[in-house]
This record gives sequence, C-alpha cells and structure tokens, in this order.
Amino acid sequence: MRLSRRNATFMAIGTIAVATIALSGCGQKAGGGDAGAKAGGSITYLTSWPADTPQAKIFAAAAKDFTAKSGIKVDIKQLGNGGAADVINASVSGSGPDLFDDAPDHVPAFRKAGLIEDLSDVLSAPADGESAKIESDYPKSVISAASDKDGLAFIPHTILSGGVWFDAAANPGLASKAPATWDEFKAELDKLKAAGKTPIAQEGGNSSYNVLWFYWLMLRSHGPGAVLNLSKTAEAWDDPAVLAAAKEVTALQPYFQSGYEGSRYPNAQNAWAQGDYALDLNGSWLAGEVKSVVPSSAKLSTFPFPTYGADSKSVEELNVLGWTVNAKGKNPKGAKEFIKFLVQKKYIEKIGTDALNIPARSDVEAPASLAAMQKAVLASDATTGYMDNAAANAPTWYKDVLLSLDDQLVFGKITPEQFVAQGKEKTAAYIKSGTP
Amino acid sequence: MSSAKRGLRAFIWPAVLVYTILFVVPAIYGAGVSLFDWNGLGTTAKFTGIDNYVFILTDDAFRQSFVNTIVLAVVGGVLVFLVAFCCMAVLRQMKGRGFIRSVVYLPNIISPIAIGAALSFGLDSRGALNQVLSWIGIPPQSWLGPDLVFRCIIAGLAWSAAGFYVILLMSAVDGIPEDLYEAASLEGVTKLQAFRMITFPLSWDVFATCAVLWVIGSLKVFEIVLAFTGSANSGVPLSARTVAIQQYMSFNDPSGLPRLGVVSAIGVVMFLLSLILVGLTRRLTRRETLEL
Repeated sequence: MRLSRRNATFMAIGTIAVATIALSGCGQKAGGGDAGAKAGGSITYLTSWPADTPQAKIFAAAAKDFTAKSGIKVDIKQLGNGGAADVINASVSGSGPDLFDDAPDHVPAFRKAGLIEDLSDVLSAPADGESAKIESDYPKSVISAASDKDGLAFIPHTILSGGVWFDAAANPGLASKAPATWDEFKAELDKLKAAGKTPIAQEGGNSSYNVLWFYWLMLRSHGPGAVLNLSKTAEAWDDPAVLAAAKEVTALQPYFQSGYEGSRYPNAQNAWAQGDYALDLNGSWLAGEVKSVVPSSAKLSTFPFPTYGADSKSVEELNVLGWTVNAKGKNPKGAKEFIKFLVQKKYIEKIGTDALNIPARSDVEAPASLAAMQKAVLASDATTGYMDNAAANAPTWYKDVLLSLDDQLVFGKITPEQFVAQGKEKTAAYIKSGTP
Repeated sequence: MSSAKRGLRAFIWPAVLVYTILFVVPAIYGAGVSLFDWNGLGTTAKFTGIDNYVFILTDDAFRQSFVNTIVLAVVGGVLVFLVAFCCMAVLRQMKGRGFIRSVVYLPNIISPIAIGAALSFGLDSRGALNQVLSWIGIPPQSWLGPDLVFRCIIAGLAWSAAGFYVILLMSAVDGIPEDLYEAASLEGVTKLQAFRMITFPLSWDVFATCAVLWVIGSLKVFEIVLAFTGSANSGVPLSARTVAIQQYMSFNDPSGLPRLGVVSAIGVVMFLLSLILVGLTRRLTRRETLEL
C-alpha cells in the first residue's frame, strides 16, 4: 500500500486522536460506580482492615445494619499499600473517602492535609439507640489519645497496649503472683530456666519487638517521653539510665529461645502460644494473632511490665484505633451518622469477643486474656502513645537509628557502651540532617 | 528518501508522543521533584536544591543499602552465571535436556514474594533446613540472623533467577552447528576444551546481553527482600536492605507522609548507577562478533 505524505499525516493524526480517546477512557475514575446514588445517600469507608479480619467483618456487618436502618449505603473499600498517603492523595484530588481508619501516628499527616473533620458534635451526641453522650462512653485518657493539640482526630474503637504474656494454665504461679519488680522478673526467668523451660520467646526477625525491652525499661525509668527524647538531642544518650537499660537488655540474651536472632515473625509467638516458651513481651493484639494456633487448654493472660529502679514510673502505653471523618469527603454528615451507629455497645463489644482486643468504651470489658492489661492501662496515672510516639514524630530516627542499633544490642553484636556511643553519634547526624 | 518512507515516518509520532508522555515527561518531572522537599498532593513543595542528594549520600541507611545492592549485583551475578555456564556445559548433549531446562526455569515463574516468604520460613531457626541439618548432626544456624540473612537472600535470588539466564544462554548454544563439535572431537578436543573454545566464544554475545539484563534487574531487587525479612511495623532491617527497599521505606514512611524528594533523588542516583554499570558491563563484555 502506498500512501501520499498528506494522507499518511492524516492517518497519523487520526491514530493519535483514537489513542487519545482510548487513553482518556483509561483515565475515568476507577471504581467510581454508583454514579446514580443520590447526594447524601451513600458514604465511602476506606478501611485498612483486610476483609478476612474480625475487625473488617464486624464493621461490614455494622454497615449492613446501618444501611438497613438509615437507607444510607456504605461503600467499603480496601486501602492500598500506600497507606495514609493513599488517603491523602485521593482526598486532595477530590475522590477521597468519607470515612477512614486512623491511629495517632497518622494524625499529624492527616491534620497537615486538612482531612480531619471536627467531631465535637459526634462526641456530644448519643450512640444510635443509646441515651448517654458518646463522650461519656469513653475514658478520658482514650479520648485524649485520639486527640492532638487541635482537638479530637478520630472516634476510637480499640485500645492497644503492651505487657508480658503467659499461659496461666501452664504457669499458675504467674497467674496468682506475677513478678512486680524487675528483680522479681529476673528471678522468675532464672526459675523458669532452672525448670528446663525456655523463659522468653523473642521475635528476632521483627525489630519493633526486639526494641520492646529497651523501650519499656526506659519508660519505667523516665516515664512518657523517655524514648522520644532520645531522638531530640544527642546528649540525651548520656543519661546513665540509657546505658543501664541497655545492660539489662544484654543480660536477657540467655533467656531468649535458641536461635532467636534467626526467628521469622510470627514463628516465635506461634511457638510460645503452643507452649514452647513461657513468656512473650508483646502487644494487646497477640491473643488475636495466635488464635488459630493456641491449644484449647491454654489460658492466655498478661501482667504489666515490671517496675524498674527505685523511682519506677507507672506509665502504660495507650494507643488507640478508630475512625476519622474526612473533612474533604462528599458526605461528612452521613459519615458521622455511621460513626454514631458503629460505636453502639453491641458492636464495640465484638472488638473484645470477636477480635480479641481491648474495646475502647469504658463500659465494655476486654476478653479474659486482656483483663489485666485493660485494668492496668485505664488505671495508670500516665500514658504514652505507640513506641512513646517516636515512630510518629521521628520516623526515620526510629527505624534507622533506634531499631537498627537495638537489633545489634539484642543480637549481641554491640556492647551496651557501643549502643550508647553509636546512638549518640547517629542521633547527632540525624538531627543535623533535618530529616523528619 | 522515497515519499512512501517519508509518509510512513509519520506513524512514528504517535509512539514518540506516548513514550514522551508516559516516560520522558514523568522522568524529567521525577528528577525535578528530587530538588524539592515535598510530601505529596495537598502539601507545599519547598525547593531545597541538592539537599536531598546530600542527605542520601551521607545517610547511613542509604549507604548500607547501596553497598548491599552492589554486593547483590556482583555476587549474585557470579552465582547466576556460574549456574548458567554449568548448565550450558552439561545440558548441551544431555538427553531430556528440554525437560531439565523447564525444571531449572520453574523458579523464575514463581512470584518473588512467594519465594521470599517460603524461603524465610524454611530458613527460620526452627525451620525445615535446620531440621534437615540436625538429622546429619549439623547444629542449627541462624540463617535469618544479621550475619547470614543477606547471603541467604542472594542465594535465593540466584536460585530463582538462574533459570531465566540458562534458557537464554542455551538458546545460543542450540544455534551452534553440531559439526563444529564433531570436528573438534575428531581432533581429540576434550569436552572442557570444546566448551572453552566453541561453546563459550559462540554464545558470548548472548552472555553479554544477559549480563546487562542481570545488572539492570539486580539494581531493582525488591519483592524477594521484602518477603524475606519484612514484618509488621519494623520494615526491613538495615543488614538486608537494597536501594529499592530503602526507596520504598522513604515513600512508605511511618508518619504517613511520603518523602517524595528523597524518593526521587534515590531514583535519579540509581538511574545514573544503572547507566554506569551497564556501560561498564558492555565494555567488559565487548568482543568481536564471531561469524560462522
């Protein structure tokens, strides 16, 4: 086939036009169906809970009930791997959800992007079918944990905390009298070892679990801010309490299971749940995570991290999970109505019964395995956020300096003195770099 | 040039346009972003010049990931091509070589995520490998500990990637006329000499291409490392991070705000590194083409 130059040019332009139309078709908003939905008749909930988790099932069931009652359709979509960035990008480009999952470590990012709707009207209203104000359903410390300096950022459904886990059926002595002080705890470790047991399950492959020992020892030494402050000045590492805590961590190595540094998460916690190891310093979510492997004879329980030193602080970690209404969403009013529906006692109870976590409402009891932890957290004089807020406020330092050095300390690759010296040096470099 | 050729040239423009829109413009835009401190849509971008480059080049985490990536490219490359050359030497005359090739290639069609996850659980301190070793009296090793984890990743990657290069190199070997080997045999040439003097030189061009492909691919290794070592809330330990992982961790920051300037600067540095290494590889593998 021979083409004149003119015809060929026309065909080329036509090809471009066709391609442009095709590409513009590709650019149509994906998943934006339901174009016929009436304004105010639907809300979009972007969730980070995978569909097969108890939390996702609880919220999906509640959404179904909500739609049946209110007529407002709830479109639940799964959050991508981009996490909070996905929520922000979608929202500022006009396709964000009306409601999304939130936690304190992401609040600064959402606040900065202007996504956090004022929830004071939700707090002062009753939950669907209830009479008391929602605010009165929650402990003050829980509301505080879900707030920043600009106010409440999200309505919580779950409390997360930490403690030492054990099987009360296998270790009845711990159930009747848990070690209260660090010295008692170490004596218990010796006792367990002498009895031929492996005292501690350590998830060597998970840095954020390795750091728990240093983290809790520092919290007990100095209270809230003890770990976060290490990211703020290099001189903070000169505090003798840092070296003392590092020495205690090193001294724990003989009590970890053999080969702990090569343990692939979650193998150590699964082996602990099956009775291979006695103790596991972990989070409140542990019972939910090992649910499928724990034998029916086990009676999982926790005790608070022991007091440490002469002036031990009674601080507990209080992290919360909940829902934020998107200030840039299309239907914030509908989203608020959904939250009022979600926080009913009957749904929040399922956080305990189905998800085996600590429910955020003060009138809902945690499952038996978490009763001690719930009591400790809610009774504590002082609380701090996840990882003493270091993961949220100094993320690069937390991952690249603290976790990295702590791994080496826990694995015995550096001495406590080297830990302190390198921590000081790397923190100075981190501060100098101006990295968040 | 004939009018037909001139006319047909117009058909290049749609491709040029699409390539420009989908690759050239984003690449230039990405390089531009590397000069800003920017957390993404809805936030203000602040011009910081070369600060992001200064940061990554002085950052311990980036430097460690950079060294890891180079080690992976070199050591992994040696392993991959060692396996590939062995296969070339052994498989050429072997009966059922088509089947064996398929078997060798099989790991390459499995998702790197699946390979990484499976290997990591198999290499756990209480995993299958230590179990097997215990049967023959070898004490358990901490394969996933800080001393060995990256070596295990390289070995796993080499195992999964070798099949691809075996297939490519064997296609070159298949193209070598059989009578060359017969003539060599009559001359009393050993099999090793035949490999060195016939197989190797006549498949060199394909090897050179494979080496370039390996270098480019190894600089982007990501999924297998993530699956091997990644776990909730803690990301990937420094001892196992590649640059691609470091880039991902800068994007998927725990605060929820991606550091796009740093991410882009890492991208630019790796692009430049790719150019240098590919150029170096091509120079090292440059030979005169042999024609039969």
